[in-house]
Amino acid sequence: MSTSRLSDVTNRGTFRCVDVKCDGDAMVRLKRLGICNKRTIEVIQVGDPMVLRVIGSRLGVSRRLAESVIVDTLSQTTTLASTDTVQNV
Amino acid sequence: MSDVSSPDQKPSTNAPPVNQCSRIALAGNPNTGKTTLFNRLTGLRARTANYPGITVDLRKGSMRLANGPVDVIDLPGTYSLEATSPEEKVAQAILQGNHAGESAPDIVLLVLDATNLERNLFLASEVLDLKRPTVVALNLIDAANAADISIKVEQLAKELQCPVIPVSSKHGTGIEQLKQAMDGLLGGSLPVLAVDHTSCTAGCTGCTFSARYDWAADVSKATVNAPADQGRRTSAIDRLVTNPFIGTGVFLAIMLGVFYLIFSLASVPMDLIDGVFASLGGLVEQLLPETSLAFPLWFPMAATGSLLIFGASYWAAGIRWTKTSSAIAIMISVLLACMPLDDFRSLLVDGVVAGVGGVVIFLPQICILFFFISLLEDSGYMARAAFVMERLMRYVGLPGKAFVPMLSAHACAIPGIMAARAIENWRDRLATILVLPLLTCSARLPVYAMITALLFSESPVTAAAVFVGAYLMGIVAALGSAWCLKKTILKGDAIPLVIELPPYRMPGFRNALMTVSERAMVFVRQAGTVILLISVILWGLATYPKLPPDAQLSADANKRIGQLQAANDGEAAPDDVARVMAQEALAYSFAGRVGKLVEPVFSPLGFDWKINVGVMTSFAAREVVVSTLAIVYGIGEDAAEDEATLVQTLRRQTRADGRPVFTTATGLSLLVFFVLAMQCLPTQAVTRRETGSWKWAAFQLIFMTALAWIAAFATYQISCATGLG
Repeated sequence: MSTSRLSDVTNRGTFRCVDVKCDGDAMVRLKRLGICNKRTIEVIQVGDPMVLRVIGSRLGVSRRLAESVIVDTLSQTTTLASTDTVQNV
Repeated sequence: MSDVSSPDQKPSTNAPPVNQCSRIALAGNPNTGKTTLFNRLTGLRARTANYPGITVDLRKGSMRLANGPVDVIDLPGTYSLEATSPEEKVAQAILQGNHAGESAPDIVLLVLDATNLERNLFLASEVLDLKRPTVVALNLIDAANAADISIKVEQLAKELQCPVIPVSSKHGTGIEQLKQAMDGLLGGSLPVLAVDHTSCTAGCTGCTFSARYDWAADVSKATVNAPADQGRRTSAIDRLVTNPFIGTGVFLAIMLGVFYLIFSLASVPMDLIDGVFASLGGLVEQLLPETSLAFPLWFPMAATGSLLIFGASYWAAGIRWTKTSSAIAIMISVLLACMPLDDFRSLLVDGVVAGVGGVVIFLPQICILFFFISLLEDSGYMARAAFVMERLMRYVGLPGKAFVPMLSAHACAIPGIMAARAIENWRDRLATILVLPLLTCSARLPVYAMITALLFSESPVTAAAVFVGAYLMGIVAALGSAWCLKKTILKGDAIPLVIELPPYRMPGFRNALMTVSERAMVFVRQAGTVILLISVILWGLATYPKLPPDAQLSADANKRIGQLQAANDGEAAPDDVARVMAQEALAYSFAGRVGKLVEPVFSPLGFDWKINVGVMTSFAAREVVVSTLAIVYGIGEDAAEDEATLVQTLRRQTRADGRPVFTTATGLSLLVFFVLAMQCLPTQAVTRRETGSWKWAAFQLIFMTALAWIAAFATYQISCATGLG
């Protein structure tokens, strides 16, 4: 299982949040929407902003904020185009 | 699934005193149908309340329960009680009982989205920890049923330790049961939540967010049974709508469609309002006697008429008839009743009716705009609009959410400024509000039309290019100013985007119409108070002091009368003489004097004192400059609608040295000045309202006037240097 910043994710996939390295309002805005420790984050669309699915909701998150989110990879597609091919890591 | 579930609750000792109106606060996440539920509960009895010192409107209403009437307050939607926006701070303060002027609610009506309970339970855990009597409205139950989501309501009520009522605010199901549950809490003794409530905080360690979500996940697991493939339709639409390229195209197409509908649908009611105010002005003229009546007869009539206007204004503004407000109304009415008849007539027709009518005419555009904004918000699209515009807007330091207010401002800056409330961060919101009036609104169009007709009537292509150039200049100035503001006094990058993209839903027309009526009332209140006051002040400046009957006419006026006499066999027509006298009276008034006084300031822009008078009077509304120029150049206000006559008259105007006044350089300078200048006191009043202080309204006026002056100066000087002067 590899750890990376959410902003460095280049393919769709499923990740687990292990840390949120920001404070103040930015931290509150992320965490109250479920981007916090132990929660599962599904990356639906990469880019800036990214589209995530967290606790049943789709979220749009700026790449700048995604830099502060540290995730473990659970599963990831091999390429951007092949959205159906998910590999377990 | 039972309809109503209520666990055993302990009796409270803090029941409200008998006969005191109980208060219910609606709390919930955004996009849970909270406002629709509020509208369903309160019907048309809702009103918007604004508290001193805050810029957040709270919607309040009332409803009748078996135990009597209760006040209902619709708190701004929030994801948690750790607030980050001004609206969330108000919701937090009221729920915690810390809000000045607003006591803690007797009941919290917590609105949860049945289609995504786990996310909503996060806020529920915080609200339940407040230990206030709480009823949960499990809203969107119809959508949950349609999506094969089943919820064990009784189990959920046990977990939350409060009544849980499944409702559909859109279709009205469950509303009666909800009222009964609230009635049950209010009747006799108020039950409160158990002290050992187990949502999180009692034993919460480490990350409280994570702990609350753990609790939410446990409750959701125990009570919700949902199929795995939720939201396939939303995913399919979002693949297009959130795509950086297709999504931007979709957004622009939707906005163009909305604006096409605004301008095409609004024209009929705008003409109607124009006609109504014109008829009203005519009616007032007819009702007033032609010659002065005996004072004992006239005085009570005039004073009563004035008091009626005060009554309408106070009603619109929600001002109560206290001793002070009554004394002000009576004193001013007495003074007005002592005015000469002609002045009184002019005040009513030219000041009150024409002044208010000139602003109210934009009401249809504002209503249509908010109708579509409400539909787009309810459908879930608005969040996508903010999403796709985020990257573009970030270049100028603004968030994606600033784009919709900016588009709205192309109809009228006032709804644009009101729509800026969607921007969470105060600095971003303020920067957006400050630059919005730079965008070309409808009121500028008559000015653009007059100047392009004046300069380029023989070349429609050039006229169209100048028109488009004026629009572009407004956009560039607004974005550039926003960038400058975010680099200087409102320093800081735009707050990065974190936004929920809610599922697409069919919007409710009822809700949209209620939003429109609410926004329209805010605008009408402005028109009935601040705009009325501004109109009357500007009328006073353009009317007083009166030209004395024995006043020496100016050389210009004498020359004009001589020309009229020569053209009409030695006797000028009375109407022509009246127009010359109106021109003289305006020159003699405060506005005329100020126009002459500020000549040194505006002459580097190519303006003469008569144009300056137009600049002064157009503070009421920009388009007023057209009718003012018609008066000040002696062709009469009525002729202002005849563009050809106005343009020909303006072209004939010469300066003292014989040079024409309206050269290409002057025309372009005037155009640039009106593209960039504030020139709209009603907008200033709304800026003051939304920012909570005149400081920012004054800043907006100064920075826009300075920008307009510098740009017009550069335009005039460069045009003269290139032979266009």
